[in-house]
Amino acid sequence: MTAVAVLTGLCCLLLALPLAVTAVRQRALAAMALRNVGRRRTEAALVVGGALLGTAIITSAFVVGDVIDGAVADEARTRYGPIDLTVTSPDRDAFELATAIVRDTARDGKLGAADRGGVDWLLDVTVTTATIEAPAHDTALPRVEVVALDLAEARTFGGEATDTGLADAGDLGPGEVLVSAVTAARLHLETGDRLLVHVADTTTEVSVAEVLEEVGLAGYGGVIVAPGTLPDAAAAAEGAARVRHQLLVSLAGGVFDTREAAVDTSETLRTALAGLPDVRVDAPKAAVLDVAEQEGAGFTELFGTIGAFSVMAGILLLVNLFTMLAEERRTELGMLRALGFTRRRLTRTFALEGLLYALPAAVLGTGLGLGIGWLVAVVSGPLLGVAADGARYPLVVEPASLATGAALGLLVSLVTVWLASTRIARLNIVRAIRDLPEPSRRRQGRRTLAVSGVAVVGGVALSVAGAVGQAGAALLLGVPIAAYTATPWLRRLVSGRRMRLAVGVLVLGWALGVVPLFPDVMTFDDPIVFVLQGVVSTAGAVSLVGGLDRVWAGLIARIGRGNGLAARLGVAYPLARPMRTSLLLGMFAMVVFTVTILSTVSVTFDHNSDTMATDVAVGADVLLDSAPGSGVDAATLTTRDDIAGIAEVTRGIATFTADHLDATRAWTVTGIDAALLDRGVPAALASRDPAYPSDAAAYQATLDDPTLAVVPDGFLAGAGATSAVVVGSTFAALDPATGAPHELTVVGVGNTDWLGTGVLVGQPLAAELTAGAETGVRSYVEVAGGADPAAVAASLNRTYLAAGADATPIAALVDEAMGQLRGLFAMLQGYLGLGLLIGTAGLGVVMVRAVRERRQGIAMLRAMGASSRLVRTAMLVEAGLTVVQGTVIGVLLGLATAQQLLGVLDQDLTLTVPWVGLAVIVAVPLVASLAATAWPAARAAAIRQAVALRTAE
Amino acid sequence: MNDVGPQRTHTDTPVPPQPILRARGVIKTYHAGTQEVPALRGIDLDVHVGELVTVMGPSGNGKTTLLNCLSGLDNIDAGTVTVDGADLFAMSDAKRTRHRATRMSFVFQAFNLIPVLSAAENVELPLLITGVPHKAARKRAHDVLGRVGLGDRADHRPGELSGGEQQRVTVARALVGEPALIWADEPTGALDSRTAGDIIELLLEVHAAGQTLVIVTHDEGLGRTGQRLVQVRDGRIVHDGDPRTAPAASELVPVAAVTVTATSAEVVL
Repeated sequence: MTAVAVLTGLCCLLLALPLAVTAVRQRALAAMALRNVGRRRTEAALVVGGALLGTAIITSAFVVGDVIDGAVADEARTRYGPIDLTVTSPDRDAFELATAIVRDTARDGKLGAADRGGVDWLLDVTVTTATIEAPAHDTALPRVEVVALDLAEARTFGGEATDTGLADAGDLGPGEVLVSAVTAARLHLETGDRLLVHVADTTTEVSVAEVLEEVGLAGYGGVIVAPGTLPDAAAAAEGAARVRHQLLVSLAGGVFDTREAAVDTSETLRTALAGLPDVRVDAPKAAVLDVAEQEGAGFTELFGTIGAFSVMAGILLLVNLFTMLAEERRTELGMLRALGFTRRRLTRTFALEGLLYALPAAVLGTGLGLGIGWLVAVVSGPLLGVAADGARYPLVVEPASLATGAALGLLVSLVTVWLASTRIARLNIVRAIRDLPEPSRRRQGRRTLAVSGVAVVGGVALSVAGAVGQAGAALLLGVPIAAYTATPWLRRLVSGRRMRLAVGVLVLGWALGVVPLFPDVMTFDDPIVFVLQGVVSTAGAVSLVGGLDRVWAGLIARIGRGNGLAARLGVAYPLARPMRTSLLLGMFAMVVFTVTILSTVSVTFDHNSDTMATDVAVGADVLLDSAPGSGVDAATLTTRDDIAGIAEVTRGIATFTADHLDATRAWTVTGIDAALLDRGVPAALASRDPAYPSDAAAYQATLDDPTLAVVPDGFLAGAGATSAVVVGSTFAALDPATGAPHELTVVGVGNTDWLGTGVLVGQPLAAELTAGAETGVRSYVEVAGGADPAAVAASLNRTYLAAGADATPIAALVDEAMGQLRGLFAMLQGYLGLGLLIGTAGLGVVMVRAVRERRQGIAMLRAMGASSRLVRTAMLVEAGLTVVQGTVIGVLLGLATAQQLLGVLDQDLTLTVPWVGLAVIVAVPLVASLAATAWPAARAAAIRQAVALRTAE
Repeated sequence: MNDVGPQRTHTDTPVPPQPILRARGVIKTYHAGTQEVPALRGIDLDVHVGELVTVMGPSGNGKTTLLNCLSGLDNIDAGTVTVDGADLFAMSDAKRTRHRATRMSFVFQAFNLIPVLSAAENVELPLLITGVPHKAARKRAHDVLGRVGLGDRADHRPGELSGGEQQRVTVARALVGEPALIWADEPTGALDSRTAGDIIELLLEVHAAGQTLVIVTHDEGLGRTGQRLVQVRDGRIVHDGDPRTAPAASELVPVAAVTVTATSAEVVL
């Protein structure tokens, strides 16, 4: 990030430095630029406003990542505090032996000196998984971790009492427990409430002594008890193997600065404890910090990708504004050239003015981006459940993020300003002074033709290389590059209109056809391909629309009321200024394109939720999670009248590593068996190794071969980020005891992991990978004919409460997960609203400038008897038609791309057109733009014709 | 080029008693901050059907203000102006605009053509404004463009026409609605002498066809070709009658020349 900021900053400096030197050495130019900005302050403010939104969007993408990173990382403080490592075993003897080895190793200094990241403190605890019931509130919570520890010892653990969260906790009396704030909230508990702790077949009654804020040890479990408080429960837990003896290790250093040391020390301990069975060493806090970084990066990627469309809309706005500004000043600039200004000086004069817009836009945009990013993180983080329940979303932002956002925003503005200024300085002096139009250049110079020819060949070669090398971006871009750079040659053969039509048809056809033509290359795995697909298809569609100007004019003439004068005038300017119109259309089309895709995918998922639930249900209706040995087993359940069939799998958390990861990552792993596959496949596959003729065959291979696995979409990636793991990829699961890697090859990639099954491997391998960790049994329950899944789930929960059963209808689980997705899509659409804001603001500024530019024409119309209403209507028609055209292009392209995207995601999905959403997508920009145009239109209608006809402004 | 005038009936009868334009006591004052600059100081003027009236005077003495006020483009501070029997300033702005659309048209020095419309589209605008169906308007526009010698340039945009051609388009645009009165403000001001001569000839042909014209001009040649010359000095009419009896321009050195700009007025001594 810092490197990007420095590099971008240097580029900005390179672009701004010549302007700063010019401003210092030639004060008159600086004064001229300043006065031009000050001459129309409202418009200057609008230009800055339009430009700052681009910076705000870029910055906010980084800020979202930082805040999510901070929120997830905060779990290190709330759930672990001073705990850096855990040494765990379900076996008491093995644990005591392991503890002795750890103490000896630490004493010998093999784990580093205490002041150099070595072992600082050790604490014995016992963790039991229980179901907690609060009879007074009629609430219960399965699978709560009850931690038994010595409070006095725990308060000193890590050396900083406040980090343990137990500094202010009083001593516990007999039968008293401490409850974490999140557990208390879920059970609606208050101090003094009576609780029932169910472990295996035992139930113990306790009371809540205190509810503690989740910090350090106070957040490590849901309930904290003193050793010996639950003797029956402890004994039962030992018997049912639902207890984990743990040695908590604190390394020297603060809560957040032991990440590297924890990883190193865990490896040393694994080696030292290698001979002991059922003992595992974990570095949970380092894992949390790794996850935080990956989740943050994932969010930055997601919002950066989506925001890219709005940023491009911002670039188009800037280009449009500077083009208009130049046209408005054409005579003035021509005069400067006549007075002796070189092209270089003219470029700098104009660019200097651009710099005056770009600098405040970068500063203000960064500030706005900070606010937007934080807001987005606060809303979208909980929606996706990226951080633990109750996690805070502190405004923790890396200075490098802000610097990068500001520098990228400024760079975009400066490059636009320089390009526009250079183009402007190429004006013909005489034509500029006399305000004559530039002649259309039908014949091009040899150099232009030569460059064009090389570019055409290069474009075609790029596409070919992309197709051969499986590079989607290159394949997609090559043909449009060839088509657009061929225009100097095409201009010699056909008219401008036909040329635009031909290029538009070719580029649009390519953008829409490349996915079905090259399905193996265009997989959308890389988000940049999605962005480029939007850009290329929009460019093609806008070119095509530009070439159809006569069709639009004819159409307007037919549908206009009466003689349709307002409509005719409304289309006259957009049709006569194809460049300007194309920029405006592109601006709206690109943003609407993305909003449409999001809306369509969201609604399609919604409408296909039943199918999706069926796809992952294995013929079952209810999912029942319970602890192993809890008594909730298939043999017991099948005796019930309301259950027709059942299949069991085991589930736990394993640690994985892969080439694309910097650190290990914990992920759910589920062990499947033949009984499950007899019922069907656990999830339909989006892609699978072609060696297997069916999904069932791929799953069977996974069962038979412990080196194969099926992974869900997004495996080993942050929320919203694209996964680098595809069919054929290899990754490794770490042995919990030794840390040795067990290599796995992906034979199939599923769709969204609605039920949280994670990686699917054979049952024996899953047991190996989760040894020593808390595991669960998941039962796929098929209800008897006529039974209501919700009623069966409720009955199972009641019956097996003490056993920690957690039953939910599968449809409800999918629906709940879908709700999260819907929320995210809504959030992203709101984020894209910024792009529409750019479009609306842009159109407003363009119309304000249009009024100035056409002042005399409007006055003449009024002199001829055109009513002020006609003038106003013509302006509104012009804005409205532009927005509607841009929006319709965006909607149509969005629907087409959504169809392709859904096909890639899951071929069984049936596209659902979000009619209501589309109506809103079309109506909102239209209404907003008409509102933005109302003021310039009113100004146009109020022009004093006697003055305007005689004088330039 | 012999039949360039509108299709209204023209007679050689003496000037009818009821003028097409009647202005009485028209006063117009510009305000620049606290300063008041009188532009018209009580103008009385009658223009009858079929007349060619030229308005001359030194720069800044109120010629264009006279045109703007008497045509209803600008408001007046006192007095009355009736065109075709209707009091312009007793009407609402909307009504005055409609009245102007059907009774008057304009030719300006700067052409003021809509740059993104073709010659034919520019010419048909006054008809479309008054509600003439598009097809009929387009046909009429082509007819009139043919009469001003631009039949083959109808589909060209202003940027593709020479200055003289653009001014012909503005004349065609002024004629197409068959107005009762055409106002021309320095119609030859932006043209070279040869092209200006062509435009003067065109305007005279228009007048010969029976069209009433009021032309504001600096051009002595054009000014003295009319039937009637109105000379304005310091916001007042100092001569109204036969051009041959009018004082020479050099005798009309202003007492105070008034230059009016969009936002300010200044007195140039």
